[in-house]
Amino acid sequence: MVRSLHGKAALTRKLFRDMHRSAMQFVAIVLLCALGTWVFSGLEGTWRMLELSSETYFAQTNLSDFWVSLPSATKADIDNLKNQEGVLDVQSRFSAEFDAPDLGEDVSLQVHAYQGEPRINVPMLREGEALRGEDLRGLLLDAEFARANQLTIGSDIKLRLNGLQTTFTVRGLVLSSEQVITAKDVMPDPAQYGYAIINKAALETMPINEVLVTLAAGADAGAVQAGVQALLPQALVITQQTHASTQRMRSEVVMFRNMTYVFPVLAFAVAAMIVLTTLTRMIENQRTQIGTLKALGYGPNRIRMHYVNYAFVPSLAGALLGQLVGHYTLPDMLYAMEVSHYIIPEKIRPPISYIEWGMTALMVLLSVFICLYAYRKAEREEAASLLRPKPPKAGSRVLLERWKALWGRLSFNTKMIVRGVARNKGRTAVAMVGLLCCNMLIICAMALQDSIEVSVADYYHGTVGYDLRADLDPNAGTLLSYQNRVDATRVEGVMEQRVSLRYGQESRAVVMTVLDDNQQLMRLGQDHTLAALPREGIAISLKLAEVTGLAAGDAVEIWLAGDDRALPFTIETVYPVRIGQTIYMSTAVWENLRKGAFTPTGLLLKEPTPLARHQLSEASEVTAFKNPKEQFALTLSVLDSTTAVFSLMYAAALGLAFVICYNMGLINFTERTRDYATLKVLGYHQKEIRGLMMWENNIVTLIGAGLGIAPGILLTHVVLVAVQSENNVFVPYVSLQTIALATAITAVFSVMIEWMLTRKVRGINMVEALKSVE
Amino acid sequence: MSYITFEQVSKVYGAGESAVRAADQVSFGIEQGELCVVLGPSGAGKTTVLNLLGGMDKATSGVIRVGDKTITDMRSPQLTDYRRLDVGFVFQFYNLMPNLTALENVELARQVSPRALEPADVLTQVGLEHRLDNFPAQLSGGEQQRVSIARALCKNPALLLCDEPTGALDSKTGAQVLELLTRVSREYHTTVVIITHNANVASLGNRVIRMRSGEVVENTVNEHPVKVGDIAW
Repeated sequence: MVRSLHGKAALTRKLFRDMHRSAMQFVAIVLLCALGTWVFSGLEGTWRMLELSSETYFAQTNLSDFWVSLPSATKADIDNLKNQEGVLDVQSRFSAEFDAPDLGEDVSLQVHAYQGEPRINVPMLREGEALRGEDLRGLLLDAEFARANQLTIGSDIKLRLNGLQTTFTVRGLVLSSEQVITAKDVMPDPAQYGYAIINKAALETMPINEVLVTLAAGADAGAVQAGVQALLPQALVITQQTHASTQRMRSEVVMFRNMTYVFPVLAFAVAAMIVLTTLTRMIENQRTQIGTLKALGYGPNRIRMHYVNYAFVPSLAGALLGQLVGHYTLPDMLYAMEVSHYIIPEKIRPPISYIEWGMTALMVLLSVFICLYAYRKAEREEAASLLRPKPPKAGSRVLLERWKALWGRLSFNTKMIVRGVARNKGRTAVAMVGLLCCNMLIICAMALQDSIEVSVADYYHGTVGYDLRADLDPNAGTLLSYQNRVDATRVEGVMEQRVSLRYGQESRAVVMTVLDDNQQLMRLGQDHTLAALPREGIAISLKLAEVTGLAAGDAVEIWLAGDDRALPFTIETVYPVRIGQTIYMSTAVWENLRKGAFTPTGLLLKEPTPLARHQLSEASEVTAFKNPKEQFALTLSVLDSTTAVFSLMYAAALGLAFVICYNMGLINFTERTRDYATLKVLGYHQKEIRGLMMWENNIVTLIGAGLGIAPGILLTHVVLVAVQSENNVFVPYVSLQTIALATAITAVFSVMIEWMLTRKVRGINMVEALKSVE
Repeated sequence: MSYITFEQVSKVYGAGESAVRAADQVSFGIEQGELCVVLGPSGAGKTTVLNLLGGMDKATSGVIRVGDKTITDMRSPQLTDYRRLDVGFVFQFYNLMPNLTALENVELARQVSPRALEPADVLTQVGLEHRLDNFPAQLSGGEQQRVSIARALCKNPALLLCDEPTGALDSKTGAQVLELLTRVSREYHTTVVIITHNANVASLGNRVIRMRSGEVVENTVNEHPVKVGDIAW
């Protein structure tokens, strides 16, 4: 018993001393396992944190399932809605955008006037007190808006709608789950736009124009929606899927989730492969020691368990470290970037998921199996055979030698390197795969950023042909009146409204844009050419076609808000417009519908003079100006968190490349120390030996990085599908510049690491290295 | 003055109580063109002396001169040039590049030596003209050692240092290798130093240096070296 314990202690000491002696390789295994689980746990934790925090918020505040908008809902309408099968609760309110003239010219608030105390979309009180039912002058204000406009509890705020002006007093500062992103357009600007909640009784004359609906548990949302639309055909039903704020938040979660299963799995696979090579080499180097243990009478299980620890200890340490660091750091960093646009009251850290534990266990198991596989070869050999040093791998001719004309032209050193590379195929292949993956990930990270930028630029610099857009409120004049007085090369009008697009059993709330018949400021055709608007039917944007599956020739219905009659249309064409789920219609088609005159909600201006801008800014109906260049920058900044993940990927690629190149370089150097020592003895100078090493590395780098180009392009396509948002069509764009730059980064990185390794030549002790094998 | 001189050369590994004096105040001389056998049991300091002489290791104290060069004064790059131009090494376990053919292994030496001989000719001289394109793994131990000797000779060195050149060979093959080394010394007038623990080999040399525990215990000139065929194994 005592003897057995001594045996165990001796083997344990041997294990730790071996680890100390081969510290770099054990550290490499720890780092690789850590890197594999770090990225996975990090992204997995991020999407779970986003989902848990937002969904908890939605649940706590009883977020509505449907927002049913209609010009005026009667009590009967509301009762019918409440009695609809699958509906749990309804609450009615008046909802409209009010100006806040005292706070600035373009400052406005989306005001929700509830009938009764809010039960659905309950505002979350951050400061002050809740609104009492009888309080007709009280107002709950968007906390971010209040902060940006320096309003506090007790501040008065004047609100104006269609000439009607009322002053309210701020009773409380709140957050609203139906406005996790409060953006009028692309980016939130709390100084200009926010939301407020008041009692409906304060606006007695206003109609009920919105009914919030929550569904019973297990209700079929599609069926209920169809039922609601049958009941109130004139209503526009916005679901959580099409509600701008909720949809944007959820598509962030989906994007992170999709990315979790693309890059990390890749990083994981590469890490596992390098662990395989490293462990195989380490076990091979233990041959004679395995033989000695066998000769001493150690049983096969004891020896096997001893060597399993070579994999188990570092892989467990690394995988756990990666998982914990990944789970507790990355989500916080990425979450912080997310909540710079989205307002979520509480960050809730999800527990480590089963799949994270699973990936950690998989990494450890994989390492242990790799180790057992490497050990199996030695296990089969007799002790006597193991105690003999393994003969060096025989050299052989390479395929290139058959091409005598080329082989004959190569220098002696190049031939030697080519043979060396061919002789160590496995190690060279792993190094190449490492460089391949590195280049692939860098190309992908750079190309994804380019693709997003190019896709957004395609819209703002390509499709958009105007220099300035002025948003108009419902008091806007006729287009002709503006064309006559605004000093610009060209002035066009655009009329936008939210409509319900119904197709088959489905429906979706989308934006319908009516443009001048001969408009020239939206280049909707292929390659940003001008496309004639359909004379009879409608056209839709590429994204709308993608999300609905609709195509040219399909029949659809458009329901205008407040209209109880369907407008049947045929989709004439799909415009390759990369932003927005939009229906395009010509003024002629609109006027044929006899649903009112064409009243612009926006003016598109080409080359406006400063005077034109001044004229418009003086007009009371102009609510905002939009400059395509600024819109472009804003859109990109919203996508910052997405591109941050690409930067992370970039960093992971470089980290992976460093560990792989350094580890493989170290193995290569260690195994060839005798060769390098021989060269030293023969009189090769250090710089000549280093030159040979660098030259060999350059060949491997060139091939490895070159082989990474095609997978890099392919991966860009795959990932781009995963990160598509509800509003954008991202088209893969991999430029030659990106390929060249990524390959250069990979190459420089590899060369730098090799250069570090070649410094070891100085330290080769010829006497030690060339000692007879004992 | 001898072509090679060792004056009070010591090599100490480690420090303090764990210091090991591998060579202790070693002094001897070897004349140009001699075939010198350094003889001694394991741990006598033979290989240390050879490594110091070949510029593969640095002495802790003392002076080593080869011709007009003082090896102990040389810095690392000069030692590399010394090994490149003046010294050829032959090892017990050959140290051939496994991924180069016999011819290419010899060419390896020509790459760095300005007065190198034609590799194929040297391999013919050592009797391997029919094995030029074979890789080391395809050669016997004796053949590999002959490639190793050819690689050393290709540089046309003034000094050929052989560390147990027959240690890994059977007696017949060992005799062939020794025959080759004596021929090199005779025909090329190259100074050859052979390290061995085999006392029978000593009778081949013009000079025999016996070592024990890091010290030279005897340095004798052998006026009548025997032929390889006459030594008993």
